[in-house]
Amino acid sequence: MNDAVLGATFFAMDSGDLDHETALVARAQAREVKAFEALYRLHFGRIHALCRRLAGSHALAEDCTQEAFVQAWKALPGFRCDSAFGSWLHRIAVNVVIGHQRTALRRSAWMRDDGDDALDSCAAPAEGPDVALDLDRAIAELPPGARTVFVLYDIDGYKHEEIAELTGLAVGTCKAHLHRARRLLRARLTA
Amino acid sequence: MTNEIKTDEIRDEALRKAVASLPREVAPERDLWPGIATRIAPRRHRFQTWSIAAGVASVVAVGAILAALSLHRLQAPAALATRQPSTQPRQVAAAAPSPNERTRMLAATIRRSTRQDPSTQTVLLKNLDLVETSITHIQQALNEDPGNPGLQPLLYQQYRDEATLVAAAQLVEIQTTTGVISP
Repeated sequence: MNDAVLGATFFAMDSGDLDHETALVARAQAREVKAFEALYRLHFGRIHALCRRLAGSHALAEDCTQEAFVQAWKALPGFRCDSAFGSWLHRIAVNVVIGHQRTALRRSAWMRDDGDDALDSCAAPAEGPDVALDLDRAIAELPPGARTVFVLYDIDGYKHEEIAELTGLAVGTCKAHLHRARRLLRARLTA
Repeated sequence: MTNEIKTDEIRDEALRKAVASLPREVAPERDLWPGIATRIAPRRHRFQTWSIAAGVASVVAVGAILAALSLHRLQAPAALATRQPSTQPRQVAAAAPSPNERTRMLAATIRRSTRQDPSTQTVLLKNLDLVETSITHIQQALNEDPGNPGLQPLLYQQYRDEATLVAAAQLVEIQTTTGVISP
């Protein structure tokens, strides 16, 4: 697969939408809840899709989506519009989900920074010839470390260095996770 | 070897297409905004620690009193039942503190605590009435069958429900006096 930045298209907006969003951000920064609700209505679908794919479960994804918007509200006065609001919000959501995963890490060391050994210890996804391909479901069934890297890299267009910074993994480990994720998904595609 | 590389390329292409076709937006199963709005809502007044502490202390005190009453009432029927299994059930009720008096005290506490929130007051008083009715029925059943092991835990649960109602009323009072929605 090419290393194309697929996520670059995620927050593409025309100038009219951008002006509207910028105005909403300014009002939300002035603590206007209605404006923040409008921003929520604009972005919740994308943020929830991200959380759903990263978290791998509906319940956790909803918690993370909610938490991401609450954290965004708290951090909004410090947002300097250096990047698009959607990108900024996206990164907050990624941090929220990874924060949840780090909590889980304390219980099960799925994200150990020990290269391929960690990948080998991950549970294999449920596979079967009769299972119709549902990529979202296949992604949810990936081992958590592989899922995180695959979603961030192949779907959201993050670079390995950025993923390494977000997850605390080594770049080499990220690449290994990606390799494994693609291999497992390819197997599902051709099953 | 060349065939293997070709197969991998075909699979990569299929995966790339599948990824590109993923929906960019996925709606959650429920509207998450109400939960977010609650969490980001501004608090009406400044946080008053002393007031919260006083409220919590009064909730604990009422809870302790109710627990003591509950234990006393639970032990009384059991003790009498041991001495006089089923011959004088009326004495069992006579040994316990007056239910009417206690009910009036609890209702007064709820009314006082929720005087600024009539709708909550109505709900809590209705619930108190239900709990008191349950207590009466359980006590009647206990008089008829003192050795029934299922009745005493049931009665104890009703007393706990009473304590919960009073605690809820106290929390309403804290919220209305301090403006803190979720202490």
